[in-house]
Amino acid sequence: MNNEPTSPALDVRDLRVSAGPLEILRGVSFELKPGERLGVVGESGSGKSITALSIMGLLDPPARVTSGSVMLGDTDLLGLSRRDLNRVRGRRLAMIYQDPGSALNPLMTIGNQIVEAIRLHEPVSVAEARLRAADLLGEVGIANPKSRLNDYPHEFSGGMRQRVMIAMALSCNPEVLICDEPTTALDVTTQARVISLIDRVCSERGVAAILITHDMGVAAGFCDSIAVMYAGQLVEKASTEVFYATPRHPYSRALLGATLDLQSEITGELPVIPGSPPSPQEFDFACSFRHRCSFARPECAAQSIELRPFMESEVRCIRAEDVEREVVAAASVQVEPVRVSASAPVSEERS
Amino acid sequence: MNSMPLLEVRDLVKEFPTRAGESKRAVDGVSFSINRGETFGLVGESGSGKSTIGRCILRLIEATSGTTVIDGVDLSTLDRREMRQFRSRMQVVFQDPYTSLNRRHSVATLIAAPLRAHGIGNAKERRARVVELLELVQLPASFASRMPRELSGGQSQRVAIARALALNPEFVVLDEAVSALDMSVRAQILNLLGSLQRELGLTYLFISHDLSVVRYICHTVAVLRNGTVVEQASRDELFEHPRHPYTQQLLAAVPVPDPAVQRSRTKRFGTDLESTGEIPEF
Repeated sequence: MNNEPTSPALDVRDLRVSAGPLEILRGVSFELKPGERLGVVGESGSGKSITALSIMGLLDPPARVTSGSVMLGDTDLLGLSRRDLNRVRGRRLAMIYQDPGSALNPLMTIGNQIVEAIRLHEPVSVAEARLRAADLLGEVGIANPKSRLNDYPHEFSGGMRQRVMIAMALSCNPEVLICDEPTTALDVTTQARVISLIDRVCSERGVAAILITHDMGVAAGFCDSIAVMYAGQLVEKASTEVFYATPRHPYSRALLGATLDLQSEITGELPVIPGSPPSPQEFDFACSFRHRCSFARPECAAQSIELRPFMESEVRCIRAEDVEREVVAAASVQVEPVRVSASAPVSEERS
Repeated sequence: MNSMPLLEVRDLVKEFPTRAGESKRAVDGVSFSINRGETFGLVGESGSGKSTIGRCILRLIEATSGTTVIDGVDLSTLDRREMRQFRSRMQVVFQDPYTSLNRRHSVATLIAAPLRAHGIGNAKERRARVVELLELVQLPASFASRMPRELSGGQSQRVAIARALALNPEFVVLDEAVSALDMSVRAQILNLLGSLQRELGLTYLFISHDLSVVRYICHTVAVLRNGTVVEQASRDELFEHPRHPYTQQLLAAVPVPDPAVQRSRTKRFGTDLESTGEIPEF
């Protein structure tokens, strides 16, 4: 195991996934330093969950990784046999899912499920594993953990089930924790507590984390850096501070503009992004956002566009400089990217 | 006329039997009224009773007690035939357009279904009305021949709205109608709902768990918890001066897209946890 502080905990390079003839993930690269938290944000179909599932080796056929590498420390996960991958998953790499209800076995007590997870990876006795399980439940904020070990999942609320999932994910001290929309199915107060819990345990244990979310607010409070996905690609990467203060890609600007919060003034129509994201059939080599982008020019359709450094961020936009200039020039009307008047038909159809 | 309430709900109670042979009050004495042309928000977490209230008002399920008066008509006094007639004046749009639209019917058939059910117009007139409704929800007329699987989430929800408007209702229940949509599409649908309300004078009951959406679209808001209204106020009053501790707690839990603010909130909720434990859920 390489203990050099600078080497990444997880290094994903040019990851590509196809489902049949369609490429659905188109060259995703990022690094996660030990203890770092990366937020992967985007709308449904952007490839966030596909990224997580391909790292975990959990893609459902016909989806499969066609190229790229995923290095967990020194281990290339994509090159592992099923057996070796099973040893890594759960022990060094763990995942929390959106729906804690379906991830737990309804016929097994909570305690037995955690004990099973621990003993799968470590040669400890049942008694010792039960002690550890109770400690873990306590750590994730469940009162009377010893007696709750004997309960079944249905006796836990949604928020508590997600706490159990977190306890199981932590049971073998993973280096990297992938959280795929971990609070989307939860109520708002429960969501706040669960995110806060993940925040605390990751800090205490120094676990690196990927948070996949569509919620720009949740990502802001948890992540060190943000990667925005659109149409199977990263379109922007930046530190969290830089991203929220100065989103650079037209899609990121529009996305933050369309985000509702409790602070911003309510003035008439909401800024919208016209249309809807392209489906994999519609992906092409050029800019995927051009059909919905108010800054698009013919050249955006004419060339393949790479992620490149711009100011303090990385963006996949050839017009980033011009966009910046136009936005600054229009600063008197604030950063409200795309406005569509009420009378204009907002067809989501593209042809 | 904006001052006249279109809908009045009084002391609504809905009990569901539990397995133990007892009954649980999902809605426990809820009263409110909604002015014509306005949007009333019912906000609460899962199990708060918000959807049950919507269903009771529409008489999709029968309330245990309480009255619903729409435009001076007490719905509980209507027999089945009268209720069927009255239903055309109130409609509902649900959360998930994928399950609320029958996969095997074309958009035209789906939108015209309420017209057929109420025996309105001949085939030709109904086709014309479908085109009119598509235009109203800002979809091209060519969408009439599409099948639900060919629609995106936002397009599906537009079709569900068009169908709800087919009979020219005055009152529409929007039950988590934008909750399943992606951010960029959600803004489009919220704008559409706003412009339809202004154009057609619609009155909305907007049921949602999402406070930031409620803040955007509602004139008046009631916060529900365990089947009772804990606070009701105008939008500005509720969001600027929440009085009930539960409302304050809900507002404090809404994530803010600002790293500095949200980081301190994320940490603070961790300490709250140690002192208060988890809010009980159903």
